[in-house]
Amino acid sequence: MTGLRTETVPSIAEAARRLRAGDITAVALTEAFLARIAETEPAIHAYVEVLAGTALTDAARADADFAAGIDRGPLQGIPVGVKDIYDLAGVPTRCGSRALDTAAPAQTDSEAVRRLREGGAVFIGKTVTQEFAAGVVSRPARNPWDPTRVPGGSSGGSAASVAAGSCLVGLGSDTGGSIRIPASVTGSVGLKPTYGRASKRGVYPLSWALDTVGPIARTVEDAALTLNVMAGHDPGDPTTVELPVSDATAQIGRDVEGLRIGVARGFFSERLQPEVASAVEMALDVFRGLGAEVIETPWTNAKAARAVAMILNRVESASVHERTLRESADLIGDDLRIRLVAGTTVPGTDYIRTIRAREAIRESMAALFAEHHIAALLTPTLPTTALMADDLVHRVSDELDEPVGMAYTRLTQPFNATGQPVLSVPCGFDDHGLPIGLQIAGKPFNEAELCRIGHAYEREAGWYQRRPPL
Amino acid sequence: MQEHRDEDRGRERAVSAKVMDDVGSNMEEMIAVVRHLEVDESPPRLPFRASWTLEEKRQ
Repeated sequence: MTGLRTETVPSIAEAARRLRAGDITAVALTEAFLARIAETEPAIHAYVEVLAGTALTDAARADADFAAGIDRGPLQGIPVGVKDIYDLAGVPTRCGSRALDTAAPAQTDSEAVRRLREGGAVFIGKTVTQEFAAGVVSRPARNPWDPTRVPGGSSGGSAASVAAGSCLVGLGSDTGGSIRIPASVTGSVGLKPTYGRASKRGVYPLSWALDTVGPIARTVEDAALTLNVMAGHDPGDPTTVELPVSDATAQIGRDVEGLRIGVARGFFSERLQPEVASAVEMALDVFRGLGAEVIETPWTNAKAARAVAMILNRVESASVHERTLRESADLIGDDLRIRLVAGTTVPGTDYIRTIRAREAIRESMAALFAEHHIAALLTPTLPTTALMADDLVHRVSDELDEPVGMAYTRLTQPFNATGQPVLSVPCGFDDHGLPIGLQIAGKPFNEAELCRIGHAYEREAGWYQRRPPL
Repeated sequence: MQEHRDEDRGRERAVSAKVMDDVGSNMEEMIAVVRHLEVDESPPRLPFRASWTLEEKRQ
Protein backbone atom coordinates (compact mmCIF):
# COMPACT_ATOMS: atom_id res chain seq x y z
CA MET A 1 0.00 0.00 0.00
CA THR A 2 1.24 3.47 -0.88
CA GLY A 3 -0.87 5.57 1.45
CA LEU A 4 -2.53 7.39 -1.45
CA ARG A 5 -5.92 8.81 -0.34
CA THR A 6 -8.77 8.86 -2.83
CA GLU A 7 -9.83 12.39 -1.89
CA THR A 8 -6.57 13.67 -3.38
CA VAL A 9 -7.68 12.26 -6.74
CA PRO A 10 -11.14 13.79 -7.09
CA SER A 11 -11.72 13.25 -10.79
CA ILE A 12 -10.77 11.21 -13.82
CA ALA A 13 -9.21 14.29 -15.36
CA GLU A 14 -6.98 14.83 -12.31
CA ALA A 15 -6.08 11.13 -12.00
CA ALA A 16 -5.21 10.98 -15.70
CA ARG A 17 -2.95 14.01 -15.32
CA ARG A 18 -1.15 12.54 -12.29
CA LEU A 19 -0.79 9.11 -13.89
CA ARG A 20 0.90 10.67 -16.88
CA ALA A 21 3.09 12.86 -14.72
CA GLY A 22 4.35 9.71 -12.98
CA ASP A 23 3.11 11.14 -9.70
CA ILE A 24 0.93 8.07 -9.00
CA THR A 25 0.60 4.59 -10.51
CA ALA A 26 -2.54 2.79 -11.57
CA VAL A 27 -1.82 0.08 -9.01
CA ALA A 28 -1.54 2.63 -6.20
CA LEU A 29 -4.71 4.31 -7.39
CA THR A 30 -6.57 1.00 -7.50
CA GLU A 31 -5.31 0.02 -4.04
CA ALA A 32 -6.54 3.36 -2.72
CA PHE A 33 -10.01 2.83 -4.18
CA LEU A 34 -10.14 -0.75 -2.90
CA ALA A 35 -9.30 0.60 0.56
CA ARG A 36 -12.06 3.17 0.19
CA ILE A 37 -14.50 0.41 -0.78
CA ALA A 38 -13.55 -1.51 2.37
CA GLU A 39 -14.11 1.67 4.40
CA THR A 40 -17.50 2.59 2.95
CA GLU A 41 -19.19 -0.69 2.03
CA PRO A 42 -20.40 -1.59 5.53
CA ALA A 43 -22.68 1.46 5.35
CA ILE A 44 -23.27 1.87 1.59
CA HIS A 45 -23.49 -1.63 0.06
CA ALA A 46 -22.82 -0.29 -3.43
CA TYR A 47 -21.14 -3.48 -4.69
CA VAL A 48 -22.46 -6.92 -5.50
CA GLU A 49 -18.90 -8.14 -5.97
CA VAL A 50 -15.56 -6.41 -5.54
CA LEU A 51 -13.00 -7.58 -8.09
CA ALA A 52 -9.80 -6.79 -6.20
CA GLY A 53 -7.65 -9.44 -7.87
CA THR A 54 -8.53 -8.73 -11.48
CA ALA A 55 -8.63 -4.98 -10.83
CA LEU A 56 -5.03 -5.03 -9.66
CA THR A 57 -4.12 -7.06 -12.74
CA ASP A 58 -5.89 -4.49 -14.95
CA ALA A 59 -4.00 -1.73 -13.11
CA ALA A 60 -0.62 -3.44 -13.50
CA ARG A 61 -1.31 -3.75 -17.23
CA ALA A 62 -2.13 -0.04 -17.39
CA ASP A 63 1.12 0.79 -15.60
CA ALA A 64 3.09 -1.48 -17.95
CA ASP A 65 1.54 0.32 -20.91
CA PHE A 66 2.44 3.71 -19.45
CA ALA A 67 6.00 2.49 -18.92
CA ALA A 68 6.14 1.30 -22.54
CA GLY A 69 4.87 4.65 -23.78
CA ILE A 70 1.46 3.26 -24.72
CA ASP A 71 -1.34 5.71 -23.96
CA ARG A 72 -4.81 4.28 -24.46
CA GLY A 73 -6.60 7.48 -23.50
CA PRO A 74 -7.99 9.18 -20.41
CA LEU A 75 -9.57 6.04 -18.89
CA GLN A 76 -6.25 4.18 -18.71
CA GLY A 77 -5.71 3.12 -15.10
CA ILE A 78 -9.04 4.58 -13.92
CA PRO A 79 -11.16 2.52 -11.45
CA VAL A 80 -14.63 1.91 -12.89
CA GLY A 81 -17.70 0.39 -11.18
CA VAL A 82 -19.81 -1.73 -13.53
CA LYS A 83 -23.58 -2.00 -13.04
CA ASP A 84 -24.45 -5.67 -12.68
CA ILE A 85 -26.45 -5.81 -15.90
CA TYR A 86 -23.33 -5.32 -18.06
CA ASP A 87 -21.47 -8.48 -19.04
CA LEU A 88 -17.91 -8.46 -17.77
CA ALA A 89 -15.97 -11.51 -18.96
CA GLY A 90 -15.33 -14.01 -16.20
CA VAL A 91 -17.93 -12.59 -13.81
CA PRO A 92 -21.62 -13.61 -13.59
CA THR A 93 -24.20 -10.99 -14.57
CA ARG A 94 -26.89 -11.44 -11.93
CA CYS A 95 -29.01 -8.33 -12.54
CA GLY A 96 -29.98 -8.19 -8.87
CA SER A 97 -32.39 -11.07 -9.37
CA ARG A 98 -32.86 -14.49 -7.84
CA ALA A 99 -33.68 -15.67 -11.33
CA LEU A 100 -29.96 -15.29 -12.16
CA ASP A 101 -28.45 -16.34 -8.84
CA THR A 102 -26.71 -19.31 -10.45
CA ALA A 103 -25.72 -17.52 -13.66
CA ALA A 104 -22.44 -18.72 -15.15
CA PRO A 105 -19.64 -16.18 -15.58
CA ALA A 106 -20.04 -14.09 -18.73
CA GLN A 107 -17.98 -15.45 -21.61
CA THR A 108 -17.30 -12.10 -23.20
CA ASP A 109 -17.41 -8.42 -22.34
CA SER A 110 -20.39 -6.28 -23.20
CA GLU A 111 -19.44 -3.86 -25.97
CA ALA A 112 -19.21 -0.88 -23.61
CA VAL A 113 -16.93 -2.83 -21.26
CA ARG A 114 -14.87 -4.06 -24.21
CA ARG A 115 -14.30 -0.50 -25.37
CA LEU A 116 -13.37 0.62 -21.86
CA ARG A 117 -11.02 -2.34 -21.43
CA GLU A 118 -9.36 -1.42 -24.69
CA GLY A 119 -9.05 2.08 -23.24
CA GLY A 120 -7.14 0.69 -20.27
CA ALA A 121 -9.89 0.99 -17.62
CA VAL A 122 -9.68 -0.89 -14.32
CA PHE A 123 -12.87 -2.76 -13.42
CA ILE A 124 -13.05 -2.53 -9.67
CA GLY A 125 -16.36 -4.33 -9.12
CA LYS A 126 -19.97 -5.03 -10.10
CA THR A 127 -22.40 -2.53 -8.62
CA VAL A 128 -25.88 -3.05 -7.22
CA THR A 129 -28.87 -2.64 -9.51
CA GLN A 130 -32.56 -2.78 -8.83
CA GLU A 131 -33.82 -6.12 -10.13
CA PHE A 132 -33.32 -6.22 -13.93
CA ALA A 133 -32.80 -2.44 -13.92
CA ALA A 134 -36.51 -1.90 -13.30
CA GLY A 135 -37.07 0.41 -10.35
CA VAL A 136 -35.67 3.34 -8.42
CA VAL A 137 -34.56 2.06 -5.02
CA SER A 138 -31.56 -0.33 -5.57
CA ARG A 139 -31.61 -2.22 -2.31
CA PRO A 140 -29.44 -2.90 -0.42
CA ALA A 141 -27.38 0.08 -1.60
CA ARG A 142 -27.72 3.23 0.48
CA ASN A 143 -27.16 6.93 -0.05
CA PRO A 144 -23.74 8.24 1.10
CA TRP A 145 -25.30 11.57 2.09
CA ASP A 146 -27.54 9.76 4.57
CA PRO A 147 -27.37 5.98 4.75
CA THR A 148 -30.94 5.76 6.00
CA ARG A 149 -31.98 6.92 2.51
CA VAL A 150 -32.01 5.37 -0.94
CA PRO A 151 -29.40 6.09 -3.63
CA GLY A 152 -32.08 6.02 -6.34
CA GLY A 153 -32.13 3.53 -9.16
CA SER A 154 -31.84 1.49 -10.98
CA SER A 155 -28.12 2.34 -11.27
CA GLY A 156 -28.06 3.03 -7.53
CA GLY A 157 -24.89 1.09 -6.73
CA SER A 158 -22.85 2.94 -9.34
CA ALA A 159 -24.11 6.33 -8.13
CA ALA A 160 -23.60 5.45 -4.47
CA SER A 161 -20.03 4.35 -5.18
CA VAL A 162 -19.23 7.52 -7.13
CA ALA A 163 -20.67 9.68 -4.35
CA ALA A 164 -18.88 7.68 -1.64
CA GLY A 165 -15.62 8.10 -3.54
CA SER A 166 -15.11 4.36 -3.96
CA CYS A 167 -14.75 4.55 -7.75
CA LEU A 168 -14.12 7.41 -10.17
CA VAL A 169 -16.93 6.55 -12.57
CA GLY A 170 -19.81 4.09 -12.56
CA LEU A 171 -21.56 2.58 -15.54
CA GLY A 172 -25.34 2.94 -15.61
CA SER A 173 -28.29 2.39 -17.86
CA ASP A 174 -31.31 4.63 -18.38
CA THR A 175 -34.69 3.42 -19.61
CA GLY A 176 -36.93 5.71 -17.55
CA GLY A 177 -34.35 7.75 -15.67
CA SER A 178 -32.05 5.12 -14.13
CA ILE A 179 -28.86 7.14 -14.70
CA ARG A 180 -30.31 10.56 -13.87
CA ILE A 181 -32.36 9.58 -10.81
CA PRO A 182 -29.48 8.10 -8.77
CA ALA A 183 -27.17 10.88 -9.98
CA SER A 184 -29.65 13.45 -8.67
CA VAL A 185 -30.13 11.97 -5.21
CA THR A 186 -26.42 11.28 -4.68
CA GLY A 187 -25.13 14.67 -5.86
CA SER A 188 -23.39 13.10 -8.87
CA VAL A 189 -23.43 13.83 -12.60
CA GLY A 190 -25.43 11.45 -14.79
CA LEU A 191 -25.22 11.49 -18.56
CA LYS A 192 -27.90 9.69 -20.55
CA PRO A 193 -26.60 9.85 -24.10
CA THR A 194 -28.77 10.06 -27.18
CA TYR A 195 -30.58 6.78 -27.90
CA GLY A 196 -28.34 4.95 -30.37
CA ARG A 197 -25.11 6.70 -29.35
CA ALA A 198 -23.60 3.78 -27.39
CA SER A 199 -23.93 0.04 -27.82
CA LYS A 200 -26.17 -2.00 -25.53
CA ARG A 201 -24.79 -5.33 -26.71
CA GLY A 202 -24.10 -7.54 -23.70
CA VAL A 203 -26.19 -5.36 -21.39
CA TYR A 204 -29.33 -7.05 -20.09
CA PRO A 205 -32.29 -5.38 -21.80
CA LEU A 206 -35.29 -3.83 -20.11
CA SER A 207 -37.02 -2.06 -23.01
CA TRP A 208 -35.06 -2.08 -26.27
CA ALA A 209 -36.80 0.96 -27.73
CA LEU A 210 -35.76 3.06 -24.73
CA ASP A 211 -32.62 1.53 -23.18
CA THR A 212 -29.49 3.66 -23.16
CA VAL A 213 -26.14 3.11 -21.46
CA GLY A 214 -23.96 5.84 -20.02
CA PRO A 215 -21.78 7.04 -17.15
CA ILE A 216 -22.35 8.41 -13.65
CA ALA A 217 -19.39 10.51 -12.54
CA ARG A 218 -18.37 13.34 -10.25
CA THR A 219 -18.05 15.98 -12.94
CA VAL A 220 -19.45 16.71 -16.37
CA GLU A 221 -15.99 16.45 -17.88
CA ASP A 222 -15.50 12.98 -16.38
CA ALA A 223 -18.86 11.83 -17.73
CA ALA A 224 -17.95 13.17 -21.17
CA LEU A 225 -14.52 11.51 -21.12
CA THR A 226 -16.15 8.17 -20.29
CA LEU A 227 -18.87 8.52 -22.90
CA ASN A 228 -16.21 9.20 -25.53
CA VAL A 229 -14.82 5.72 -24.90
CA MET A 230 -18.22 3.99 -24.75
CA ALA A 231 -19.81 5.71 -27.76
CA GLY A 232 -19.91 4.61 -31.36
CA HIS A 233 -21.61 2.41 -33.89
CA ASP A 234 -21.67 -1.32 -33.19
CA PRO A 235 -22.82 -3.69 -35.93
CA GLY A 236 -23.91 -6.01 -33.11
CA ASP A 237 -26.43 -3.46 -31.84
CA PRO A 238 -28.65 -2.37 -34.73
CA THR A 239 -30.03 0.55 -32.72
CA THR A 240 -26.64 2.26 -32.73
CA VAL A 241 -26.18 4.93 -35.35
CA GLU A 242 -23.55 4.94 -38.07
CA LEU A 243 -22.40 8.45 -37.41
CA PRO A 244 -18.87 9.54 -36.55
CA VAL A 245 -18.56 9.92 -32.78
CA SER A 246 -18.11 13.56 -31.92
CA ASP A 247 -15.90 14.37 -28.95
CA ALA A 248 -18.24 15.02 -25.99
CA THR A 249 -15.51 17.13 -24.35
CA ALA A 250 -14.94 19.27 -27.46
CA GLN A 251 -16.81 22.31 -26.15
CA ILE A 252 -16.01 21.97 -22.45
CA GLY A 253 -14.52 25.19 -21.18
CA ARG A 254 -16.39 27.36 -23.66
CA ASP A 255 -18.77 29.84 -22.08
CA VAL A 256 -22.51 29.96 -22.61
CA GLU A 257 -22.86 33.68 -23.23
CA GLY A 258 -25.55 34.34 -25.79
CA LEU A 259 -26.90 30.78 -25.78
CA ARG A 260 -30.66 30.49 -25.42
CA ILE A 261 -31.70 28.14 -22.64
CA GLY A 262 -35.33 27.02 -22.39
CA VAL A 263 -37.19 26.42 -19.15
CA ALA A 264 -40.05 23.94 -19.18
CA ARG A 265 -42.59 24.58 -16.47
CA GLY A 266 -46.17 23.30 -16.33
CA PHE A 267 -45.78 19.50 -16.08
CA PHE A 268 -42.22 19.95 -14.83
CA SER A 269 -43.07 22.37 -12.02
CA GLU A 270 -45.99 20.49 -10.51
CA ARG A 271 -45.78 18.87 -7.08
CA LEU A 272 -42.17 19.84 -6.35
CA GLN A 273 -40.53 19.83 -2.95
CA PRO A 274 -40.16 23.58 -2.25
CA GLU A 275 -36.36 23.40 -1.95
CA VAL A 276 -36.20 21.72 -5.36
CA ALA A 277 -38.21 24.52 -6.95
CA SER A 278 -36.06 27.21 -5.39
CA ALA A 279 -32.79 25.44 -6.28
CA VAL A 280 -33.84 25.32 -9.93
CA GLU A 281 -34.75 29.02 -9.87
CA MET A 282 -31.28 29.74 -8.46
CA ALA A 283 -29.76 27.67 -11.26
CA LEU A 284 -31.60 29.82 -13.79
CA ASP A 285 -30.02 32.88 -12.17
CA VAL A 286 -26.59 31.27 -12.54
CA PHE A 287 -27.22 30.82 -16.26
CA ARG A 288 -28.38 34.44 -16.56
CA GLY A 289 -25.24 35.50 -14.72
CA LEU A 290 -23.18 33.57 -17.26
CA GLY A 291 -24.79 35.58 -20.05
CA ALA A 292 -27.21 32.93 -21.31
CA GLU A 293 -30.67 34.03 -22.38
CA VAL A 294 -33.15 32.07 -20.25
CA ILE A 295 -36.59 31.87 -21.84
CA GLU A 296 -39.86 30.15 -21.01
CA THR A 297 -40.53 27.27 -23.39
CA PRO A 298 -43.58 25.27 -22.32
CA TRP A 299 -43.73 21.76 -23.76
CA THR A 300 -47.31 20.60 -23.81
CA ASN A 301 -46.49 16.98 -24.73
CA ALA A 302 -44.66 16.07 -21.54
CA LYS A 303 -47.50 14.02 -20.06
CA ALA A 304 -48.05 12.22 -23.36
CA ALA A 305 -44.32 11.57 -23.67
CA ARG A 306 -44.34 9.99 -20.26
CA ALA A 307 -47.28 7.79 -21.16
CA VAL A 308 -45.52 6.68 -24.34
CA ALA A 309 -42.32 5.81 -22.47
CA MET A 310 -44.18 3.98 -19.73
CA ILE A 311 -46.20 1.82 -22.11
CA LEU A 312 -43.15 0.93 -24.23
CA ASN A 313 -41.26 0.11 -21.06
CA ARG A 314 -43.99 -2.10 -19.55
CA VAL A 315 -44.80 -4.03 -22.73
CA GLU A 316 -41.23 -4.62 -23.84
CA SER A 317 -40.02 -5.61 -20.35
CA ALA A 318 -42.92 -8.07 -20.15
CA SER A 319 -41.76 -9.50 -23.46
CA VAL A 320 -38.12 -9.71 -22.28
CA HIS A 321 -39.17 -11.69 -19.20
CA GLU A 322 -42.10 -13.58 -20.72
CA ARG A 323 -40.55 -17.02 -20.31
CA THR A 324 -39.46 -16.48 -16.71
CA LEU A 325 -42.87 -15.05 -15.94
CA ARG A 326 -44.51 -18.16 -17.37
CA GLU A 327 -42.19 -20.82 -15.99
CA SER A 328 -40.70 -19.50 -12.74
CA ALA A 329 -42.43 -16.29 -11.77
CA ASP A 330 -41.63 -16.85 -8.09
CA LEU A 331 -37.98 -16.07 -8.88
CA ILE A 332 -38.93 -12.51 -9.79
CA GLY A 333 -39.52 -10.07 -6.94
CA ASP A 334 -43.13 -9.04 -6.28
CA ASP A 335 -42.53 -5.43 -7.23
CA LEU A 336 -41.17 -6.23 -10.69
CA ARG A 337 -43.53 -9.13 -11.32
CA ILE A 338 -46.54 -6.89 -10.88
CA ARG A 339 -45.15 -4.43 -13.42
CA LEU A 340 -44.41 -7.21 -15.88
CA VAL A 341 -47.91 -8.62 -15.53
CA ALA A 342 -49.27 -5.12 -16.15
CA GLY A 343 -47.27 -5.06 -19.38
CA THR A 344 -48.91 -8.25 -20.60
CA THR A 345 -52.34 -6.66 -20.35
CA VAL A 346 -51.71 -3.89 -22.90
CA PRO A 347 -53.48 -4.63 -26.20
CA GLY A 348 -51.19 -4.95 -29.22
CA THR A 349 -52.97 -2.12 -30.99
CA ASP A 350 -52.21 0.21 -28.09
CA TYR A 351 -48.54 -0.78 -28.22
CA ILE A 352 -48.41 0.01 -31.94
CA ARG A 353 -50.30 3.25 -31.40
CA THR A 354 -47.71 4.14 -28.78
CA ILE A 355 -44.84 3.54 -31.21
CA ARG A 356 -46.52 5.79 -33.73
CA ALA A 357 -47.28 8.43 -31.11
CA ARG A 358 -43.63 8.46 -30.18
CA GLU A 359 -42.76 9.87 -33.57
CA ALA A 360 -45.06 12.82 -32.98
CA ILE A 361 -43.58 13.32 -29.50
CA ARG A 362 -40.05 13.43 -30.90
CA GLU A 363 -41.06 15.84 -33.59
CA SER A 364 -42.73 18.14 -31.07
CA MET A 365 -39.52 18.28 -29.04
CA ALA A 366 -37.47 19.02 -32.15
CA ALA A 367 -39.95 21.76 -33.06
CA LEU A 368 -39.66 23.27 -29.57
CA PHE A 369 -35.87 23.55 -29.94
CA ALA A 370 -36.13 24.92 -33.46
CA GLU A 371 -38.93 27.41 -32.81
CA HIS A 372 -37.25 28.96 -29.78
CA HIS A 373 -33.67 28.50 -31.05
CA ILE A 374 -32.71 26.94 -27.72
CA ALA A 375 -29.56 24.93 -27.05
CA ALA A 376 -30.99 23.13 -24.04
CA LEU A 377 -34.10 22.67 -21.95
CA LEU A 378 -33.96 22.84 -18.15
CA THR A 379 -36.17 21.09 -15.60
CA PRO A 380 -35.64 19.63 -12.15
CA THR A 381 -34.37 16.03 -12.41
CA LEU A 382 -36.68 14.87 -9.65
CA PRO A 383 -39.57 16.43 -7.77
CA THR A 384 -37.91 15.51 -4.48
CA THR A 385 -34.61 14.56 -2.86
CA ALA A 386 -33.58 11.14 -1.49
CA LEU A 387 -36.42 9.36 0.26
CA MET A 388 -36.09 7.09 3.28
CA ALA A 389 -35.30 3.46 2.49
CA ASP A 390 -38.71 2.33 3.74
CA ASP A 391 -40.78 5.09 2.13
CA LEU A 392 -43.49 3.75 -0.15
CA VAL A 393 -44.67 7.16 -1.24
CA HIS A 394 -43.46 10.67 -1.79
CA ARG A 395 -45.65 12.83 0.45
CA VAL A 396 -46.54 15.73 -1.81
CA SER A 397 -48.86 17.32 0.75
CA ASP A 398 -51.04 16.27 3.67
CA GLU A 399 -53.70 15.29 1.15
CA LEU A 400 -51.59 13.80 -1.61
CA ASP A 401 -49.15 10.87 -1.75
CA GLU A 402 -47.36 9.70 -4.89
CA PRO A 403 -45.79 6.22 -5.17
CA VAL A 404 -42.00 6.48 -5.06
CA GLY A 405 -41.49 4.94 -8.50
CA MET A 406 -43.99 7.30 -10.09
CA ALA A 407 -42.54 10.35 -8.34
CA TYR A 408 -38.94 9.57 -9.22
CA THR A 409 -39.59 8.88 -12.91
CA ARG A 410 -42.15 11.66 -13.43
CA LEU A 411 -39.73 14.25 -14.81
CA THR A 412 -37.11 11.95 -16.34
CA GLN A 413 -39.24 9.49 -18.31
CA PRO A 414 -40.53 11.95 -20.94
CA PHE A 415 -36.97 12.26 -22.27
CA ASN A 416 -36.71 8.53 -22.83
CA ALA A 417 -39.58 8.92 -25.29
CA THR A 418 -37.80 11.77 -27.10
CA GLY A 419 -34.45 9.93 -27.05
CA GLN A 420 -32.40 13.13 -26.79
CA PRO A 421 -29.29 13.35 -24.55
CA VAL A 422 -29.82 14.53 -20.98
CA LEU A 423 -27.57 15.46 -18.07
CA SER A 424 -28.35 15.60 -14.38
CA VAL A 425 -26.00 17.90 -12.45
CA PRO A 426 -26.08 18.87 -8.76
CA CYS A 427 -27.83 22.23 -8.20
CA GLY A 428 -28.13 22.56 -4.44
CA PHE A 429 -29.17 20.89 -1.21
CA ASP A 430 -32.39 20.67 0.77
CA ASP A 431 -32.86 21.44 4.47
CA HIS A 432 -31.68 17.92 5.38
CA GLY A 433 -28.44 18.40 3.45
CA LEU A 434 -29.57 16.13 0.61
CA PRO A 435 -28.55 16.87 -3.00
CA ILE A 436 -30.90 18.29 -5.63
CA GLY A 437 -30.46 17.65 -9.35
CA LEU A 438 -30.90 19.91 -12.38
CA GLN A 439 -31.93 18.15 -15.58
CA ILE A 440 -30.48 19.58 -18.81
CA ALA A 441 -31.84 18.13 -22.06
CA GLY A 442 -29.88 18.75 -25.25
CA LYS A 443 -30.13 18.16 -28.98
CA PRO A 444 -29.90 14.62 -30.38
CA PHE A 445 -26.30 13.53 -30.99
CA ASN A 446 -24.98 16.85 -29.71
CA GLU A 447 -23.55 15.69 -26.40
CA ALA A 448 -20.68 18.15 -26.90
CA GLU A 449 -22.92 21.21 -26.58
CA LEU A 450 -24.87 19.61 -23.73
CA CYS A 451 -21.66 18.95 -21.80
CA ARG A 452 -20.47 22.50 -22.49
CA ILE A 453 -23.65 23.85 -20.90
CA GLY A 454 -23.53 21.43 -17.98
CA HIS A 455 -19.86 22.11 -17.33
CA ALA A 456 -20.28 25.90 -17.45
CA TYR A 457 -23.07 25.68 -14.88
CA GLU A 458 -21.22 23.17 -12.70
CA ARG A 459 -18.08 25.31 -12.48
CA GLU A 460 -19.96 28.52 -11.75
CA ALA A 461 -22.34 27.02 -9.18
CA GLY A 462 -19.69 24.88 -7.51
CA TRP A 463 -22.03 22.32 -5.91
CA TYR A 464 -20.01 19.43 -7.32
CA GLN A 465 -17.22 20.17 -4.87
CA ARG A 466 -19.32 19.18 -1.86
CA ARG A 467 -18.72 15.63 -0.70
CA PRO A 468 -20.81 13.50 1.65
CA PRO A 469 -19.67 13.35 5.30
CA LEU A 470 -18.73 9.70 5.06
CA MET B 1 -26.39 -10.08 0.15
CA GLN B 2 -28.73 -13.02 0.81
CA GLU B 3 -29.76 -11.45 4.11
CA HIS B 4 -30.60 -8.21 2.32
CA ARG B 5 -32.56 -10.14 -0.30
CA ASP B 6 -34.62 -11.88 2.40
CA GLU B 7 -35.38 -8.50 3.95
CA ASP B 8 -36.37 -7.29 0.50
CA ARG B 9 -38.72 -10.17 -0.05
CA GLY B 10 -40.47 -9.54 3.24
CA ARG B 11 -40.85 -5.90 2.48
CA GLU B 12 -41.98 -6.57 -1.06
CA ARG B 13 -44.78 -8.81 0.12
CA ALA B 14 -45.92 -6.11 2.50
CA VAL B 15 -46.10 -3.48 -0.21
CA SER B 16 -47.21 -5.60 -3.15
CA ALA B 17 -50.90 -4.90 -2.71
CA LYS B 18 -50.24 -1.18 -2.84
CA VAL B 19 -47.90 -1.52 -5.80
CA MET B 20 -50.49 -3.59 -7.63
CA ASP B 21 -53.10 -0.88 -7.16
CA ASP B 22 -50.69 1.86 -8.21
CA VAL B 23 -49.35 0.04 -11.25
CA GLY B 24 -52.81 -0.98 -12.40
CA SER B 25 -54.28 2.50 -12.15
CA ASN B 26 -51.20 4.08 -13.73
CA MET B 27 -51.34 1.75 -16.70
CA GLU B 28 -55.00 2.51 -17.25
CA GLU B 29 -54.26 6.22 -17.08
CA MET B 30 -51.31 5.97 -19.48
CA ILE B 31 -53.25 3.89 -22.00
CA ALA B 32 -56.07 6.43 -21.86
CA VAL B 33 -53.58 9.22 -22.58
CA VAL B 34 -52.16 7.40 -25.60
CA ARG B 35 -55.59 6.53 -26.96
CA HIS B 36 -56.43 10.22 -27.00
CA LEU B 37 -53.28 11.24 -28.85
CA GLU B 38 -53.54 12.19 -32.45
CA VAL B 39 -51.35 9.78 -34.37
CA ASP B 40 -50.86 8.89 -37.99
CA GLU B 41 -53.41 6.10 -38.43
CA SER B 42 -52.65 5.41 -42.07
CA PRO B 43 -51.23 1.96 -42.86
CA PRO B 44 -47.58 2.02 -41.86
CA ARG B 45 -44.88 1.87 -44.49
CA LEU B 46 -42.53 -1.07 -44.45
CA PRO B 47 -40.10 -1.75 -42.95
CA PHE B 48 -41.84 -0.78 -39.73
CA ARG B 49 -39.59 -0.92 -36.69
CA ALA B 50 -39.98 -0.30 -33.01
CA SER B 51 -36.58 1.30 -32.80
CA TRP B 52 -35.41 4.51 -34.42
CA THR B 53 -32.20 6.04 -35.52
CA LEU B 54 -31.23 9.38 -36.90
CA GLU B 55 -30.57 7.69 -40.21
CA GLU B 56 -34.14 6.49 -40.41
CA LYS B 57 -35.27 10.03 -39.73
CA ARG B 58 -33.12 11.31 -42.56
CA GLN B 59 -34.56 8.79 -44.96
